[in-house]
Amino acid sequence: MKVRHIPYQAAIIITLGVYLYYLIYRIRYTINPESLILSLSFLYAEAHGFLALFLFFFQIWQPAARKAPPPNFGLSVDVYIPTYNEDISILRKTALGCVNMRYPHTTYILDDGNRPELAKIAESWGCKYITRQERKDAKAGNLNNALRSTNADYVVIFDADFVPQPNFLDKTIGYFRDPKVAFVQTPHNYYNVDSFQFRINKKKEQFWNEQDIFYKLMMPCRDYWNSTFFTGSAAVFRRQALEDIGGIATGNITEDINTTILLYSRGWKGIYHNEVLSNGLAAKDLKNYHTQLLRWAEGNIGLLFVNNPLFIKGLTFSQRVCFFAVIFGWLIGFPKLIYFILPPIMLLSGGYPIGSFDFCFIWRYAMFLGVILIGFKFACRGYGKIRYDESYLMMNFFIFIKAALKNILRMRSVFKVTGKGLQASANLVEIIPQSLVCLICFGGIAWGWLKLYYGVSPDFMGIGVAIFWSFVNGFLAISGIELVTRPYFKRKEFRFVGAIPVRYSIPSVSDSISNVGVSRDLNEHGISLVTFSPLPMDKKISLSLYLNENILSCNATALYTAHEGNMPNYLHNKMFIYGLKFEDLSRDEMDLINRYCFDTIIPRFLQKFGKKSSVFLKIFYKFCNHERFRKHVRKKITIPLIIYNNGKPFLTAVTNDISVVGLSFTSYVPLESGTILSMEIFTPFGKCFVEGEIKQMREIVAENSYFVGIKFSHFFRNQEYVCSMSVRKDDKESLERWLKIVATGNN
Amino acid sequence: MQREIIKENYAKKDANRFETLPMNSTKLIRSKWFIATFFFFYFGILWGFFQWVYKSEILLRSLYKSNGPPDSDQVVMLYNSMMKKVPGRQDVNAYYRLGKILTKAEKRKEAIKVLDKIIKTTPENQRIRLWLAIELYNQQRYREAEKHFVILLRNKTG
Repeated sequence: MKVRHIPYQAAIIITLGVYLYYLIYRIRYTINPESLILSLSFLYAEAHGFLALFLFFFQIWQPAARKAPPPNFGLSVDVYIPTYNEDISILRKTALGCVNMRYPHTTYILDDGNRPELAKIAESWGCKYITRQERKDAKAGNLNNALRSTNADYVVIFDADFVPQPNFLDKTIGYFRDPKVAFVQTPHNYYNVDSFQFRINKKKEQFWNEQDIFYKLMMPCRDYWNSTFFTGSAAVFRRQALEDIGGIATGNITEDINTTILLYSRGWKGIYHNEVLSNGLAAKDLKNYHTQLLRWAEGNIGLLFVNNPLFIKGLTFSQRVCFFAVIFGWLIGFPKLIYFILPPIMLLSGGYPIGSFDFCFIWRYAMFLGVILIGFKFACRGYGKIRYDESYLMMNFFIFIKAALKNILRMRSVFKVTGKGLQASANLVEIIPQSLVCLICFGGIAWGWLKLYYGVSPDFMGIGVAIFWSFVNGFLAISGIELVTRPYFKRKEFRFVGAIPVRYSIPSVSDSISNVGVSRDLNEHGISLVTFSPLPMDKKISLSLYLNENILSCNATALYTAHEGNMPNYLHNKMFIYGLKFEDLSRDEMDLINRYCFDTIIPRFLQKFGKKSSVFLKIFYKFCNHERFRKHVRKKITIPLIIYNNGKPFLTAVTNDISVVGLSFTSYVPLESGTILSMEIFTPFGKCFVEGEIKQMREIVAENSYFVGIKFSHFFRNQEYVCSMSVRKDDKESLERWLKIVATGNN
Repeated sequence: MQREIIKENYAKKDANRFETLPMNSTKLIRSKWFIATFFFFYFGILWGFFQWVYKSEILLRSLYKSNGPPDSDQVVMLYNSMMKKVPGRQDVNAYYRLGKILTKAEKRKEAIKVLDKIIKTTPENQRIRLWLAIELYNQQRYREAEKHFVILLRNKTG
């Protein structure tokens, strides 16, 4: 047991202890015989919550410590991309990502949709094509068909929208040195952060995805109990292990977890390599998301009737607990329904689930609630966002209930493919349960208030508590509805959020000079560009995109410009934001952009936005952060800079932050600490020429991105002075003036 | 040159912006007017329903708060409707108020029946028991009053 996990484990024990004490107190003293149904329903919800929390805490007890072993070369590997009806443009990115993986392998597209046009195009991507006539057993059947048609010793499975990074196999294949390892699973990361499942805060540089807690915390901790499981994509299998259980398991619509249980029951081991090595598309709208969720919930609960982890032979105790926890987790719909509607029912009916809201109960309840919230937050090691988690449950509780009822009534399950296409308007049918909760909660609040006003009930405490919880639930419901019904002025294809330097010029204007701007987001079809000079709309603009070592020259047209109101006053007519559409890009040029987005922008984005630390550690860091002690505050401004070596441009980059005495940027090549660099910095108020020393250099994304911290030593008026090393104070003052008026960042 | 480009851009900008969506159900439920109208009617209906469900309690409140002598017919109607119900613990306050109104209307026999009903629901309520005992004593029902005084004294000494 590692010492650093002890505080979390202590929090788990204390939280469960307090919950148990509260539950015993509730059973002994607070059952209300006058409203027995309400009272017992509430008690069931709390008891369910205790068991769910115990199972959750068991799963996050301690993460396994894993370091990827070096790859063992010479193994035969097949990569499978099962597909049914996914768009070919989505499939292309996946296929090219798979083909570009460094470790030698063969890529197969397994087309259940039997599309002749895909058969033709697959060859041009460097993939082999396998199809079958009948669609028996859906994805599991498709994979089993491929297993029979191929013969490599190791098999990699990627869903049609999952694009691997080039080092995917290098990082995972080494684990198979252990002959008992059946599979290696990696996290699912979703790159379309505008999806319903994400909450992104650009100012705080944080994002929340409802699956993060599962992939970043639960799965590594389940690995500690040898209970991690195959999640349908981004995993490597040993063929021998799959053959041992007769291929991918069928008979259940969640073939992934079913296969894993069978593998564990035969004594095989599973590995979870906790590093994002592939990126997929999250369901874009609520309808598709619910389709996906219903399939998972239905299939997982159905395991109780197919391969029940409590009774199947060959599993260890901890594996039984962990797999039962997965199934039990999907049954949360019933207690949540009780929690959501009980407070307004209390107000409307006048019946109380608690015998009396006296001080004895209130202080115990307050203590219980406080300990649960703090304990959960702490034990989740920064991944638990209570408000978002509750909002997620509010939007999905009905689906969980539906899945449970379908299993109880033994209704036939159908494998439905999750749509990954164009974002559609929210279907109002999907939000009926939340709307009803909202109406009943606010109705209950009004009813309770009227009761107090007319003196129908003198119980201020009971009604007050019920009004409070009704408000919380009503707020969750209304914020969820607000979120999914937002107008969607969004693009067909997601734009990757990242800053790259872009040189632009206007060929049709004779005196146009080349200037440098910074991208805000980018994809193969267009770019959002921040410039320091205006661009004409609907006219051809020449661009040079600096994509690491590659410079992509192309033409684009400005289709959109930001409103003047979006810009701070001091930047009017100094800084401009444009939406540009690329013109006539070749397929190879598009692939170059895609490769850059997947291999560079996403890892950098995750590195910047994906940091999660416990709330208590955050407070500690806030006070101890060295940024607080800087004499000149670094502002998070992304502006382009060109770095010169011996008077020639050597590297074009974008700043991460800047102050009058230094800056930092991300480089794709490693630089040596102590090196003196000459730089040309582009600001809305003109260029600055500076010289500075590299004070800090560290790798932030393996073999791809390096953080470089610079301290300025000299400022120069113009380029000629770069080599002459003369010191000028004017430029320093102008930069200082600009940095003083800039609030927090320009984009 | 720069100014010309900026001017031209602002002229073209609106034409190139994303198309506005037509009114659909999603847009409708986000409309402020729809939300305001919907909740106005929703809470209006709720308020009307509340008035109907708690008719007697609302009448009870107005009679209890009025300074003058209560209307005898209204008191009798209230008494009849409330005595049909079996009170729960949360209704004790309403029955207490009814007792006060009946006393004010000089309907002491009915008040005793109401207090008796409260005592059956909350036997530990000493204040009501004392009131009941005094009312019984004033009505010269000494044996019944004695029983309650004994309980009160026993509780006090115990």
